[in-house]
Amino acid sequence: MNFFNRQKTRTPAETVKSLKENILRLDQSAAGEGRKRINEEVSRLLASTKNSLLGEGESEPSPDIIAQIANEVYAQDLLSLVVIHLGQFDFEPRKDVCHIYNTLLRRQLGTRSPTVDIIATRPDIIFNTLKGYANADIALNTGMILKEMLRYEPLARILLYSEQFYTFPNYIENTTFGISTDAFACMKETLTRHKPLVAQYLDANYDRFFNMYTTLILSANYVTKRQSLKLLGEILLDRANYSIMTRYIASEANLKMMMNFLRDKSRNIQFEAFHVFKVFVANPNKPAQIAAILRRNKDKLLVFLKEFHNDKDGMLRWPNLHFMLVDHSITIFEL
Amino acid sequence: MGQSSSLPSLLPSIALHVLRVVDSSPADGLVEPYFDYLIGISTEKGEHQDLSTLSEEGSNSLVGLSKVIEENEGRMVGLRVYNAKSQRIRDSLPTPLTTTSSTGPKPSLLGLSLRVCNPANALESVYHVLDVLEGSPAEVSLVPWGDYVLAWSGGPLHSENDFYNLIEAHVDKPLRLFVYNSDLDNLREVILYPTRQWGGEGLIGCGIGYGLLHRIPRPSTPPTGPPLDGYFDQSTNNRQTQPEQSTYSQTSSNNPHADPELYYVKQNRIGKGSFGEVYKGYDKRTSLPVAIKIIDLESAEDEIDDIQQEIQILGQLDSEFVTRYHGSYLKGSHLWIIMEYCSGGSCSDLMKAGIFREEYIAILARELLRGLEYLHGEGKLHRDIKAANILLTAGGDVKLADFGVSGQLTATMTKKNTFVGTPYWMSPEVIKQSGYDHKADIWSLGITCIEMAMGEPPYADLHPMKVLFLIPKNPPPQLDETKFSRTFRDFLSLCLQRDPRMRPTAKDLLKHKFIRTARKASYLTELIERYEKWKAEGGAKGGEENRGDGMSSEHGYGPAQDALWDFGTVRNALPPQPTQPSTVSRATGRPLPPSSGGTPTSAATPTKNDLPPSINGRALPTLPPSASQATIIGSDPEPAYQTIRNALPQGPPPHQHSQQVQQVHEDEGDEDVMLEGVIVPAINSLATRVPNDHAREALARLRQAFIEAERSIPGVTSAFVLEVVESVEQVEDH
Repeated sequence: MNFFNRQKTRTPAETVKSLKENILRLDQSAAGEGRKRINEEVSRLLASTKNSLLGEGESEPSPDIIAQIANEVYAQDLLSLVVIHLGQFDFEPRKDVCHIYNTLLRRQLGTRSPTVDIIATRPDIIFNTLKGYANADIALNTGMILKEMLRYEPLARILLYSEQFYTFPNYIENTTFGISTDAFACMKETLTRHKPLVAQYLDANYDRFFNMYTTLILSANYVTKRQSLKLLGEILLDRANYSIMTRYIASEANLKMMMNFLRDKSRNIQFEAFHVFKVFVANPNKPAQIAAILRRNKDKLLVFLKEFHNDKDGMLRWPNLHFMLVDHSITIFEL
Repeated sequence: MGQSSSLPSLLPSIALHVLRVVDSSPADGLVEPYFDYLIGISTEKGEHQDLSTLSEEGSNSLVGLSKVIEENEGRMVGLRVYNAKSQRIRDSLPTPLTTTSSTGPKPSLLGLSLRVCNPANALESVYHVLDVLEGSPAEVSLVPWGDYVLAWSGGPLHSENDFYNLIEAHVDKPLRLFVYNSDLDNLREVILYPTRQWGGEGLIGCGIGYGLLHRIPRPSTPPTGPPLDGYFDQSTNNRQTQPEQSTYSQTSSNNPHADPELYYVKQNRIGKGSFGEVYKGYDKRTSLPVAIKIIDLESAEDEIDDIQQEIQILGQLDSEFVTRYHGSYLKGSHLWIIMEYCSGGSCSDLMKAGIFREEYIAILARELLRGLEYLHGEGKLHRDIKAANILLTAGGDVKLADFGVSGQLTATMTKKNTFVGTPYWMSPEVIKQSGYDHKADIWSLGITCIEMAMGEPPYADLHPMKVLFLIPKNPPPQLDETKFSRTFRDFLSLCLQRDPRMRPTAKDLLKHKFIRTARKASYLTELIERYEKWKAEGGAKGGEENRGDGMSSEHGYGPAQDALWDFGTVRNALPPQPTQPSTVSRATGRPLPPSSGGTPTSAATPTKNDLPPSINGRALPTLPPSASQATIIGSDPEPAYQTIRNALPQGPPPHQHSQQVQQVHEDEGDEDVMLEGVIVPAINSLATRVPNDHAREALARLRQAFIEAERSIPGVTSAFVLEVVESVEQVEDH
């Protein structure tokens, strides 16, 4: 460290304090020259904070400085402020916020993750981050922060059990491709990363969840439909979700929906639907009405599945399924 | 507005309301969903059926109607249609056809979903969306002032209170609405979640207008002429005359935030790669040109998740040295990625008029280094630096393009273990899969400089799979000292060091003398002018930019020029992947020789280890380092090249190479190259390594079996190897 520069430079903690003051001034100042100057100052302070956290150039950041910054960020409520004001920042500082956020989230003291602990007491931070998807300018930045939050079970739990979880379909259905798929990726993360948490939740909230989820599967948007079908397959076939799967495949309406998707003109949607359909077929304890539907459509299904697998791509991509189906077609459809 | 007075007097009280038109179906583009009502049908034979005879149940007449359509499959039928928006009756003439993709027992012949209703009051009960409160459930799905709620998934709405009742009935439940937007003139489906929990006033947090003032504005006259600014009149015309091109559901493109054709006009095709096609186009709102990259997600090999990640990376870049990203939109199953358009073309285009002089290369290298300095500073790699990915603007500004395979380096993952890039430009460490970082781009930059100086990268005339093991093995390429300056060669030798740690960073290289003495970027316009002149003189025959049809002359596969050999990424373009030798060996039934062993064991053909990396010279038989490559390359790269080329869906090789290819054919004679070049050497190679005579005899029998099979079924070995290659590819796709 350059000793002579000391007086001129602020300590990292002072930088964070000044950052907060400037962010709050953004709200008060009218658009124009003054606002622009404050914005420049915010950009500079964020960049400086990021550099202190990540280390500049080849040098590693010092744990001491990281601790100073983290404590000041917690004390000044910056975890909440930067998310709320992200839309007012310029392009580069938004990225800096992501870096700062993610570095702080990963910070550990022994087995504790102090940043996670703090956010767990402040659900509004998570919800405001999720709401970023409504603003196309910042959606990808907040998406990145949200994805990092969801790595931690306590934070994923808060989102999953919240009302706000049910706003995901809005963001998925009503935004452009980049944002829509990012929102979907975060929803998927919530539904797949922490398996016991998810299994417990789905068990307790089965109807509400699948009501919502069905709207995604029935979406007119090709990507939403394809991705949500694929995720449905993953959720149902996960061992942790066994009881959810048995409930799902006992439903006649679900079977009908999958059988209709088998006839979708998109090959990919057919394949994703097939992954779910095969579970209905393979169920050894099929409810009577499910067995009846399969039996009624036995001939058509056999013809269809033969066609399905005569397709060269299909054969090559799903060699095992072919045999599996031939098996099942004998044992199941003869019922 | 006195609608009833302007209603056509012959409007029946019962009609079939068009709810949906299947994309690419016979009725697509001819019938407008939701606003059209089918009121009559006539056939070529002169039969006419008026639907006003339908009863409310109407089932018998409906059966009759579908019979008429069935009987006229393949012949044009006249549909008399009332359009509620223009309040006009017109005839549209679709031809009922069974679409091939329809797998259902009753394929739809027209692609229409209809319901019986009374058209007279159509559009009477609409709900105009007024102010939308911040943070409300309505905020993400409804557009203030431009949106009109027309119906919900349960049907049309009839009176003022219908909509409010509906919302009350859907508290905390999804409500699917049909919403019309008057600015964009389209209909879309919207899911709304009325809730008391959102923290503001009301269940959905927006004002709703009902009554005369809040009707959908109607076009007064049938519009003519081309669409101009997306205003109501013109875009109505646009909607009705342009058939939808997407191959998936139509409503997906009706999201006002999403349909790319609302904002962009696609013009001629300017390029093609393994990912899809690139078009020139322009932004309707600004008239500024853009490049439009279109990927069909239905046939793309990448998962949507991967594409999403690529796009997220693009969205985080903002530099004058990198082509800018303007957004991505879904149209059916086609993804449109809108990028900055560079009218000067790519360096590989410009090189068609001749190689570049050193002074130009110095400028290009400097601008590239600035781009790399930015990217690397952002923790990102380009991973596919080559002349074809360097674009010039009209003013000579240089931009790095095509982040099709870029990957992000995060603080926790500084080394990538994935295998991507274009083989001739790949650094040794990328090929060896030993993990790599931003220094890999520096190597590729060096190769690109050689490419610009010589017209092609080193080893360009060799098969790419062969190049994959020559690059790590041979000393770095150099330029002829009699033709190039010492400064340039020194710059190259810094970039092209086998040990990535020895290569300077982009920032350091910017201080090199070769770079510091380079002139202004605007001098590069001379290259553009030279190219334009060359093209005007007829030089560009067969060049991409002169193609109108977009189908006939794709980039052929050829070993010499990058512009012709669009290798794209190894990951996507080549069947065999040396990344997973174990799967290959399992598929071929051979034990896996450790590729890290350095010197592979047997030699089916003489090995030449130090093939000089000069720019010419035919492929010499070289030993494959592992069984995986032996499967493809064999001992003679040329015939193997033939096979791979045939296996890939690509056009014929460009004519300037036809002579060489012809030559190859003659060399082949009647021998099966796969037998002589791949299978037999591979078995021989194994024979030297197996532990005992018993095993050697088994291998000899195997070899004999192949030879006999080939004798009785000529060509079977090639077919067999192709099968293996293809199945390996499938295995890896999982």
